[in-house]
Amino acid sequence: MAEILRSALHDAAGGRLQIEEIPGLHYVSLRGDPAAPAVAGAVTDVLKIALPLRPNTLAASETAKVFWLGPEEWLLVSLSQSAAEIVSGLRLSLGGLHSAVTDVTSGCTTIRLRGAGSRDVLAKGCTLDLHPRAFGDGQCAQTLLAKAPVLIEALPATQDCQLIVRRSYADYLWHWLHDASRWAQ
Amino acid sequence: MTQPARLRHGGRINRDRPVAFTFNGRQYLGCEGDTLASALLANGVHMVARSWKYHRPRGIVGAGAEEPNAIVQLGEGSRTVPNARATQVEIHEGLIARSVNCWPGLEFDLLSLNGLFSRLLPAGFYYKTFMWPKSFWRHYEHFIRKAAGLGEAPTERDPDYYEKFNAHCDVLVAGAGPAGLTAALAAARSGARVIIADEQSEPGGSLLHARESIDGLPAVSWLRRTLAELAAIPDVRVLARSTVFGYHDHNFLAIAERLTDHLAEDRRRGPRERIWRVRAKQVILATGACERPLVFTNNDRPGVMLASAISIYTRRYAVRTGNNAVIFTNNDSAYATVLDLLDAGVRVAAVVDAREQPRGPHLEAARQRGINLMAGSAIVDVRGRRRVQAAVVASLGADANGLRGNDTTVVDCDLIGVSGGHSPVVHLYAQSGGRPLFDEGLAAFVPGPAVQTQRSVGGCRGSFALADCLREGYEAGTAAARETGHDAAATLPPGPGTLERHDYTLRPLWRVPDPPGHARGARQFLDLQNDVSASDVLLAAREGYHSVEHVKRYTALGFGTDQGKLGNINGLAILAQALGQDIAATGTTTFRPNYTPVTFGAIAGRDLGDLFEPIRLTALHAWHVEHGAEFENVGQWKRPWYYPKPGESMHEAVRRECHAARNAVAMMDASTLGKIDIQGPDAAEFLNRVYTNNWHTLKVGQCRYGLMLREDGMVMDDGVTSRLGENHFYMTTTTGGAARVYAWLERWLQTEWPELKVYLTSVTDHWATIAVVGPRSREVMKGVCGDIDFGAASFPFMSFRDGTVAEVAARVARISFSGELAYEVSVPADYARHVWKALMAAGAPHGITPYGTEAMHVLRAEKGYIIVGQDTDGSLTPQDLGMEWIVSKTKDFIGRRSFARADTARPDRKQLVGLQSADPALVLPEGGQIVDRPQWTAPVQTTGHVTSSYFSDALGRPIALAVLQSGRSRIGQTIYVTLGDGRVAPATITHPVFLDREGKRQHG
Amino acid sequence: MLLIPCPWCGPRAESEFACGGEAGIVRPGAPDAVSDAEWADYLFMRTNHRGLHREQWWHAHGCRRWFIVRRDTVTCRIDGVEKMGSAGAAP
Ligand SMILES: [Zn+2]
Repeated sequence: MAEILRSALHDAAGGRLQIEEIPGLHYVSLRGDPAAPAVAGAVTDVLKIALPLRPNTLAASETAKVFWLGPEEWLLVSLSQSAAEIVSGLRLSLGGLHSAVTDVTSGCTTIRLRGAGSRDVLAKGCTLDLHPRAFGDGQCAQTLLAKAPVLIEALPATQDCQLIVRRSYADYLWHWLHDASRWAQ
Repeated sequence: MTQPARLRHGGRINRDRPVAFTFNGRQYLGCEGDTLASALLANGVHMVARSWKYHRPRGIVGAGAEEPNAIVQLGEGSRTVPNARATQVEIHEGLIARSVNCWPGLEFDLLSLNGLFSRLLPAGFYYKTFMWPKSFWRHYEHFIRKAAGLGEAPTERDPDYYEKFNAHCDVLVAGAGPAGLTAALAAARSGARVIIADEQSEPGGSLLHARESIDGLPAVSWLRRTLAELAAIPDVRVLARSTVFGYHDHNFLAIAERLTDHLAEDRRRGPRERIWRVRAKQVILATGACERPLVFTNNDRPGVMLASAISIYTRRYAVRTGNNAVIFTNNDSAYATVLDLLDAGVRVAAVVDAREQPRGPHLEAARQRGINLMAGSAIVDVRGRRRVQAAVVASLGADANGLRGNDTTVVDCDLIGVSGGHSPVVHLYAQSGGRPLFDEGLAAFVPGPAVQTQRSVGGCRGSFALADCLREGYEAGTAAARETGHDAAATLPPGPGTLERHDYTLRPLWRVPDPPGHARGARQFLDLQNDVSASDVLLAAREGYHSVEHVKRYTALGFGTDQGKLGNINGLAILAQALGQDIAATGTTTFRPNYTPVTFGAIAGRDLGDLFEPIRLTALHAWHVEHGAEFENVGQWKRPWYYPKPGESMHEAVRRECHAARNAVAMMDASTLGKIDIQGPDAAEFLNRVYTNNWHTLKVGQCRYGLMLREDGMVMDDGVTSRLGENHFYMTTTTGGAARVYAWLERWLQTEWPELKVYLTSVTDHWATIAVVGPRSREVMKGVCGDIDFGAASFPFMSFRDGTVAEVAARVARISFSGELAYEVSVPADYARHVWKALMAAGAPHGITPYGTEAMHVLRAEKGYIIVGQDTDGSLTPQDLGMEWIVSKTKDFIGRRSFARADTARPDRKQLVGLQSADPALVLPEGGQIVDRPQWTAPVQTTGHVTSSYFSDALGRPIALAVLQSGRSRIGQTIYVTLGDGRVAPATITHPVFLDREGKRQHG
Repeated sequence: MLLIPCPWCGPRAESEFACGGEAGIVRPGAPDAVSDAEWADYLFMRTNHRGLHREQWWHAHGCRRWFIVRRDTVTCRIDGVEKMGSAGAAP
């Protein structure tokens, strides 16, 4: 929720690449059985979003996103609702169903890369195929960027990407991105 | 122009752009587009090195990666590059190069006087030197290293920037000669994503000097048109100066792209090199073929060159490599060189062809120009020392193993072009896991069946005719694209026009017979870089070395920086003949990455300095920095080590911090502990199985210490877990063990106990944890938290309460890793700095003192608390640590069964003990080995080692923990700790708890 | 670097995974009922097979699922993958 990184905006390659932190988001981890209707139902109740069941995809509304992280795991990111509201709303909706709803807001932040060189910068430290044909609208992937775990989201119809990173790695990744964009085209 | 051997016309060099460079201290001029080798030849410089063993004069032999002689040191200072091939170095303004093989000097070489000593250095010299008493090596090493003439690595830090880039494509093409280009073109036209990489300064390969036309265009015009078409197709990358140097599993290939080395230093910008890490769905290898030398006496004299290299220097670089040439061949391709020389106005004194009845299209064309063809003959010797002066020619016998009579003809010349056939460059194919097969018709190893999704085309497949290269490339490109789902074939325009094919006829000639009256194979060089001659291989065979891998190591054949790209095959053939077996049975040595040397800078990339490993920071890091903390690396984390005040030593700061914790109050950032949220109806049962103690009995609101074992019964981690709800726990792990424990727990849940209803969520980064420690900690907590009752009885040791700390929702646990009254405050990391500052303010009247990991270690060691990974090393059970009290006897858990094994029940196992140094000023060295007697000589049986050692402020003396064989039964005895310098320090074995053994303080 | 087809995430670079060693090692249901030798066999002994080999892998930096890979230990060719608990997949 808070700003973790020191400077919020970094321009590289003569302004053609912008790297900025997006603070103020709320993050909630959800674990549950995708076959249980109550799990998808709870997410729809609270965030008005259909739970993504396909690997490496996300579903989004104007104010929130739900990322598939694993067959029984999702990350909910909200711009408007607080994590406490989401946690209590989900728990209420899930009732006694075996599941885990956990506020991880303080443990995450988001970094956005904008500009034509965005994916080329990521490709210096990421083994995924980031070509828009292979990684396009509505897709996300957990992977390693340099030596840090990240969740990468493809932003629609551009080379732009967002990274959700763990708090303790944010400073390292920020420096790594600075360095990798030093000679960006 | 001052380049005496530069042709007036032709070539791809720019005569309007002269380039000044220095070679062996002398200034020369070349042209833009020259390699160092072509520029030297243009200046009439042939002799460029001394051979490493015999210090014979050596000249430029090839024009590419195969060059064995023209090995140079580039530049000076931090940017110097050792062992570069002059044939691949592009000259630029200010280039400085010197021969590496010429100590102390190229022209006057002291060691060449020692050519007389050459009988001291036969095959096996290295080998025998290594095998015989080691002391021999010490004497030889200095001499050999200096004389061996390998380059020198820079001693300064590399100032350049290197990067890596991960790329994906449908079709990767290695090599942009004719076959590679048509492969890329076909794949690109089909709509596939294509990468084509070529090691040279410009794509084209043999097209850059070819005599042929394609589609009615001169080869270089067709090349220009093709590159323009490729450039216009999206998702096609053409990489020049890029060597595919490694072909690994699952079509993962590595390419080294050289970005700035060809530029003058003041024009260089950006990364020097880039390593491409390519994952390709399909690979097409079009790496061409390497011309093979002919092995005759004194074949190493400057002026003896590969015929194809002569063509390249003549047509591509417009260099006159000699004035009066003799060509020696066993196949048709060298006749193209004859034509190239004649076109350039060079006299061709003779063409010596080993074939009895030579034929071929190039020969026919040459015959029409009028040549002195000596069929069925061979060059058996060379006159001249620093430069070829004449070739001695003799008639070959019917089986080519001997001569027809003793008559020889001496032909004056200053240049000898040789072609012994062609070796397909099968290196990448072999690296991909394939086994090259011997093709008798080509007398060459060619690729066998593909092991990965890969195709070889053109020269590297043994197809040497241009028409075949173009066709095979196009077919392979089309097929590869189709297999990746790109099939635009219907709309494809026709490929490059057909060219006349011709048969490849060659007479295998692995070793030319010795001239009359000469010793067998002497001075017939196979490996010019390592001075390995045919006689060395014959000697190895006589001495019983029959495996090709053994012969390689015995003779050093193929060990140089060129890895024997030229003459290895001749060596194999000579070995096969000596052993009376065929070449296929003899086989090749292993082709390993890298194809050509890759700089360490490129391999390291940006994994340097602060980017070498992630540096993980807690939410309080900035505060620690602002308050002068010194930091310590713990795993990937930066943790405050201690907070020195101005003028304070580490020892003084740590004593002050410990003193505050034991006598007033101190606080520490404990946020790096691993934290796992555990939820589900089977959570307690799960903990019961992974920890040694009982978890069903833990009540909501309570905390419990747990010890986690591997299945072999050894301690792997520890930590405190709190029960937040009936089905909800919060586990902490060691800082360094967090990821390992999380993976371990998921593994048991997913693979062994899928029936357990438990979900794990890592919350390490979400929570910040602050330890408030000391007899005054209760007062401090009361100052920041009004809604928790801190009464000793109402909030007992090993329990927690939820409340509000400095206006922030927090969890406060009464846990102690110091033995003092202590609390751990956990808040979401976003609020950590606010809460930390509130605690500092509330504690100020009590003298609250921030402390780091060093003081934490002292405090815990005084209490005998272990650190897993420091006091344990994966070989200690709970019993070894004196922790039987935590091991349940009434339930099963991971590791329990292993306690009954004979090894874990041994009475002489190492056990945790305390040590008290006899010298009250000596802090024993951690890692110090323990011996039982003060006098000893190596080797000696050690009985344990010091695991933790500090100066205790509370006790006013040093303390140490150790693991020691049968330690607990030896309390009170004296042992000796080795100090690493031959001395030992006596110490008394004690109980591992030094302070407050009853544990009164933490319950206060 | 291998390209490992995670049964959930699809093909990913080896650097995202951790190898857990041979699959199909059966943990004795009643540890006390087996001899020391049998227990040591379960703990330490692995087939070190040459050829097709079933092994456990963890998608550590992806979906965090353990699964089984059938890999040829000579060529590194991957024959297939199995989710834990799928038909016939002894973990
Ligand atoms: Zn996965």
